[in-house]
Amino acid sequence: MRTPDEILGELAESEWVEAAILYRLDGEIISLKISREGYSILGVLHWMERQVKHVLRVIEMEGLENVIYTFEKNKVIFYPASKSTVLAVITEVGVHQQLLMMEIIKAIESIRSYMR
Amino acid sequence: MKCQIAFTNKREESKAVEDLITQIENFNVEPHLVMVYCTLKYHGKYQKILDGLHAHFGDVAMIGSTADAFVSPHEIRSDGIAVVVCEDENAKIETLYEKERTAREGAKKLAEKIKCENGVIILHFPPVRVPGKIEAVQVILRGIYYSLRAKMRRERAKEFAHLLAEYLYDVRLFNLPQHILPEFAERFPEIPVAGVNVSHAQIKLDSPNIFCNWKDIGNGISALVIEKEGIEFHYDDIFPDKGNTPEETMERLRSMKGILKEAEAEFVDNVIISIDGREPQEVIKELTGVKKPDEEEFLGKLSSGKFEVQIPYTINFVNKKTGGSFYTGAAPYYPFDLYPIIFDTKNLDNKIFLGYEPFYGRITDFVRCIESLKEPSKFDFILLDVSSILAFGEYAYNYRDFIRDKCKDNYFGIFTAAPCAYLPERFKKRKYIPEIEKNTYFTGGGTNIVIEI
Repeated sequence: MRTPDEILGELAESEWVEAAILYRLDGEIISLKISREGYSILGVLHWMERQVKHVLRVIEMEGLENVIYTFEKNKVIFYPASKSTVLAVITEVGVHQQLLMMEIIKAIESIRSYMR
Repeated sequence: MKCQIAFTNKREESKAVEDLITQIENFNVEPHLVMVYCTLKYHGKYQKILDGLHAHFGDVAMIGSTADAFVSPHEIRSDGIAVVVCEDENAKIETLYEKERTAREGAKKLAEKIKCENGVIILHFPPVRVPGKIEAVQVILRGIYYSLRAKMRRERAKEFAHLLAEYLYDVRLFNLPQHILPEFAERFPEIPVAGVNVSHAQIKLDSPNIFCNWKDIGNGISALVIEKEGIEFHYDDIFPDKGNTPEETMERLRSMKGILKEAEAEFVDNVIISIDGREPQEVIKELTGVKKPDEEEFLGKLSSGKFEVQIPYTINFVNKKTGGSFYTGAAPYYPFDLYPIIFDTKNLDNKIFLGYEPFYGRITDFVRCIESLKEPSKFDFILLDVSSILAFGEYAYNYRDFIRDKCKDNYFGIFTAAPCAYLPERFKKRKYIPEIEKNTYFTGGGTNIVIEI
């Protein structure tokens, strides 16, 4: 069985993914993979550090399927991966979201199998 | 046929090849055919990848192309390279290609080279090729010029639209299935032919790409010929049957969900000149709410690789000869007024139907061909329409389970533009509606094919 590090490592190899982060619901990072470093993504990572606890709380309280934040150059997709974890994927604005979803779902399935 | 599949999504092409070869070294199949499909992630690096794999396999028959996604045991992937290694001692396998100046000439030459008495022919070609930047500028300028001439000299509009169609045909921007499949149907009337319409949901300059015999043949046409007893070919689509007459088909269209408006179109070759006497882009703007792009915006989107071509609005046509109906996307694709489409309008009724894609409630119909499978032990090569992923998003991931249940372990599929087919009579199960030519099927979305080998 693959570890979250391996799963996120593969997801971060995707053409569209700039970073993939697996959070515990309390905001602690379980795994983090950054595939493209740049100023814009640094800004998003700072924003995430400040806001992620709030976002995760809202996802949990409202039972949301996913949450998407769009910045000038980047998009952040939060997707509950298991009862206690949320996967966040940073992409460029304009990537094909439905095709990217196929890769995200695959990663989430692997995370769920690992968590079982 | 027995197959094993290697997959990688490593970003760097050298690492990707290394990863693939490591997996392939553990396979226990003798390679008689290798299929290579990659996503646009490796744009500009395809030949390096093919060279790396060629060095490992030697001169084994090889076919492939770029694709939007793959389905393999047991996952759907939309990013990476899949290498399918096939073994079949009872099959005669041949892979060939042509890169002639025009699609018709290429198809004719390729058909002449092929010998097949019993089996299947699988073609790969891009129905629409996106040229490089310089050529794209030339195409835009020609489009603007002929559109202006057609506007200023209304009585000669047909002549200018014809000149634009000829130009686009000469530079091979369009490889119309209507020009390609009949060449094979004529020579091999008893052999089913599948056409992999290689096209992408988000297009890039100088794409899509076809691969054959370890070469990136760009905009060429390739053929995989498998001669073998007992190959089953199942074509299906998401649509109801066509009517007995073109009028009956029109009645069916009128009752279909998604048809919003009827109109009269004027066209020549594969170019629409006007709809209800107005410029096509004006009518499309009314339908979609999106205006045609200016040249800079158009080129910018193309260069960034984020130009989405799959849109939910359609223009539906009826063929007066076959009684079939098919659609093309209605979107402000071009920064000029004349509107080239993916069909030759010869034999089409001037009455057209504008609407949106009739996909609602049809998610399982996009894999309907799978229901016809006869022998789960055979290798199933599946051609699916990428618009199913675009229309249903993450729900499309359920195709994986459906396919796994039906195909067991020996299968591989690709998602590109809706595939086209020529079907000899014995392979027809019903009166399929997208009949563009006799026994030849093609439309903008909703078709699917599985071949049991």
